[in-house]
Amino acid sequence: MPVFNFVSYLIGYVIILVEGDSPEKFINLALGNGVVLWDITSIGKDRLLVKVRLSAVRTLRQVARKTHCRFWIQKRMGIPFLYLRIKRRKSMALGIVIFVLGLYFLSSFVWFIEVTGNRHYSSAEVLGVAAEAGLKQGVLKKQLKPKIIEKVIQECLPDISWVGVTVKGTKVVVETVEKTQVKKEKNENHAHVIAKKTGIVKEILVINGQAVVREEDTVVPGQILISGTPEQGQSAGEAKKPLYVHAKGIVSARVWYNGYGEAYLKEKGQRYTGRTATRLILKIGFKELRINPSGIPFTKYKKEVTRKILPSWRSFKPPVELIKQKYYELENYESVLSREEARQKARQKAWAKVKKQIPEQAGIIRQETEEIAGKQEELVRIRILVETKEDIGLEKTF
Amino acid sequence: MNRRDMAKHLKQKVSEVLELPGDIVLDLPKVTLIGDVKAFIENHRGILEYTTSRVRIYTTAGELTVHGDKLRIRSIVLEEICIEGEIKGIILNKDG
Repeated sequence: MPVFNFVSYLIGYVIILVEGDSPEKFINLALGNGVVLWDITSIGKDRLLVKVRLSAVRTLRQVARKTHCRFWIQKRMGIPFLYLRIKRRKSMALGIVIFVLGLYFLSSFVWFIEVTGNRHYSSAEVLGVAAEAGLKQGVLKKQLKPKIIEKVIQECLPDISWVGVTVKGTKVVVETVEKTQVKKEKNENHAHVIAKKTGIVKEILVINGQAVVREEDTVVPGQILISGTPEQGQSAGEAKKPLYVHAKGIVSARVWYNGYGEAYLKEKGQRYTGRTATRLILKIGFKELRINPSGIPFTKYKKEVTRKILPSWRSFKPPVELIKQKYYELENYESVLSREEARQKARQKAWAKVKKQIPEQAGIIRQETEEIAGKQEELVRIRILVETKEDIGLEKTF
Repeated sequence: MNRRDMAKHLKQKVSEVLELPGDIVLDLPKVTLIGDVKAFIENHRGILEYTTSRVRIYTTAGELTVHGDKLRIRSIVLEEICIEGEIKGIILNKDG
């Protein structure tokens, strides 16, 4: 029916008023002649309002004559009549055309330019460079070459590491990312070298300053290793004015790390089987429509829900929402390990923990693994002790 | 039993044996009622009377009368009539 109505609108239709002794006969004969009638309404005795396509009106005249009915056209609808009406009002039609063309014409220019992300440079500076590259208000969008503008801005403003020029309707957004300035090292400041870890000092190499600790000394975090205020005692005769320097040096020390891991001989738990199922739900208002109507095929599962919501406009939230539910199947498992396997597993865990603490440049000198005897027979506990040699010095200004 | 009745009887049998719907083989009307708002009558033979409170339709099975209020014929083609309004009753009158 919607298609029929649409076609009728395209080719035009009329509402006619049929009057006669028996309008039913009129309808029947019209049907017999292949005329399609719709929306027949009775208005009083032997008077009908009928909708009929424009092309059938000629046939209806014959039908009316044969059935002794008369009809008048009440209303003309559809494109052909609309066209006639527009033809009569030429200036209005022209206005519509001018409006549409004007809208199209005006939307082909750049009217707004927005600069985002700039901190160091002012927006005016960026806009100035952009104007030289051909991006200014009132410029044709077609003539805009974002790639070239990006390049020019980047060349002219060296502190910008990335520029993105995007056209959004009549607005151009210039996105900038500025280089983060690396803070200059406070070289001229005075500094000590302090310990960052507990350990036993193995070697001290002083580049600047004066060593305060000696080899085989145990140091704690925060302790000064190389002082930035060398004592003036050595250079005798000079004034006792303290001399401040920026202490520098490498202090190697032995550092110990601990790691602990345990493993049960019998393990119970849940794990993924790798099988998944997804369910799509379209939520309209409060109603939830399942798109692929299948149940959850798993007995044990983990659910993951993602929602896709249309962007809201002001306080209006679109009532349509797409919910995607993903199910991951879980299964119970129980594994029995031999004592040796459990030991290995615990060792791996312990080692992983140790490894996290050790810096990359540290050299491992010694490594000890010990099993801790526990009361629980089904539990294996492993402790790993690692000794490393590493630089524990840290420059700290004062 | 005259020839016409024989033919009808035969058709009925055929439709039963082949499980074909009666409205096609026997050319009988088929009425579909949607609540009290819409009625479709297929296989009609023309309108006998139409007012806002009553629509009488001629069919091969007799005269079909639709009673109601604010009735209007939504669409009418050779095969089907669609009646809209507040339908109160549909009566099939064999003698008609």
